[in-house]
Amino acid sequence: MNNFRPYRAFQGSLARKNQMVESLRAKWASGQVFPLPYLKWRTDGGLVSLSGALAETQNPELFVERTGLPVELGTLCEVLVHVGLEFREDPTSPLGLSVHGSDKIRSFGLEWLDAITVGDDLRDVLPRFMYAFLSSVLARDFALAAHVEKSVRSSAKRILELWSLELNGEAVATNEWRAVRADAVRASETSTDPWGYPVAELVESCAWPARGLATEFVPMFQLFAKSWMQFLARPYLTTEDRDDQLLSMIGMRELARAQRDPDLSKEPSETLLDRFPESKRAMLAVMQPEAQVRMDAAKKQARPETDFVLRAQMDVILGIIQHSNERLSPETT
Amino acid sequence: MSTQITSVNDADFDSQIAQSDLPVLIDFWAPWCGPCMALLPTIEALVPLYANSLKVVKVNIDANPQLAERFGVRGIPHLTLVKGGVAIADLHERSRTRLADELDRLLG
Repeated sequence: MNNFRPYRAFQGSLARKNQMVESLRAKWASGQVFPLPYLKWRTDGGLVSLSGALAETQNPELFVERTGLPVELGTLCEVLVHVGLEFREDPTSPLGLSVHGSDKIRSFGLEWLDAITVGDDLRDVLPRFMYAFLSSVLARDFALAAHVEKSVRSSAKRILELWSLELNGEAVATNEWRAVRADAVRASETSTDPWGYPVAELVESCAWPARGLATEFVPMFQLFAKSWMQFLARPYLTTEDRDDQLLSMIGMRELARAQRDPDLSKEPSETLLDRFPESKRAMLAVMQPEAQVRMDAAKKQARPETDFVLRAQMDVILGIIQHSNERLSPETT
Repeated sequence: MSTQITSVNDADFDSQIAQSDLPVLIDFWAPWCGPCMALLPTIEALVPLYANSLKVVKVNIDANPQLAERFGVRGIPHLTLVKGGVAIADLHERSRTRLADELDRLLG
């Protein structure tokens, strides 16, 4: 009889965990692996992700078989580190690239693995993190709180209610999700504050059952985190750069709308943006190398704030991993 | 575990796509493309939602350059909806919510 259970951390073997994690620790310390937002493994000397190196594969099924961990848990943890570090060309490093940032961000590259108890089933860590994260986005002290419109907030609260029911084992009808989704898309479409767009887009993307969405959450989080970090760096930009950033966000939204229009969707982006000349100018301006240099400098200045919020999310994950066998309740998140 | 999506190549385009009774969503990708890997779970999640109304396939552009050329693929990931072997729309959305919305509209 086959007793193999795919989601059993390190197949319940401490020796297996130690062997895999210690091998990764050495590679991470020597700059041979990088925090990447996807599973990447190769043996020809190219870029390798932490999760890829842990399981020595970029095949998701093999990753699960070898580690007993959900792939998306590894990539979420890597994305949090990835967002908090700066990648620089470095001819002295093994791959010509090195990462820079604070120890409290770097250390999480392995800290989440160290926190795992062998044999635990960690499939619910990501859905629970999604619940905790969306709750934190709705908190009054969240950086973008003033830009979250009422209808978006209301959709997000409804999503949290349905996720809570689901994660506590209660059934949620498909039509309930359909209704929430329609409301969330409507709220997103009618939102008018450019700094509210990332929250509205996150909320509409979240309007599905949590467990089924967990495998798709990492790119959603990464996209949102990019805007979130830019917002935190905003005070360190010039007024002109801030204005261009806003116009650029408006332009991106108008471009997405035009690409949804069957009569316009085949047109090149450049042509579509001709209808919004101010936004087009701003979008081109923020892509200029000098503007990128100014943005990088602003991000560096904002590092204490960005490190703080990223580390807080890392600590949430650690807490969930450590309590992975408890059921979700508002108190535990 | 994940839904398996049929891989289509230059040789079986006719049988898998052109002669399909259902409209076909083609995901053009490559193994080295990080954003393609990130999008794959979303594409897989669409499969059960459209089980009776849409066929979903993927095409590795490195292995099948003719198909990529035929559908004017300039960057990946690239999603094209095909009916009767003819492209009727490129899908630019990347979230499940928006892709489902777009597919609902296109599939009528």
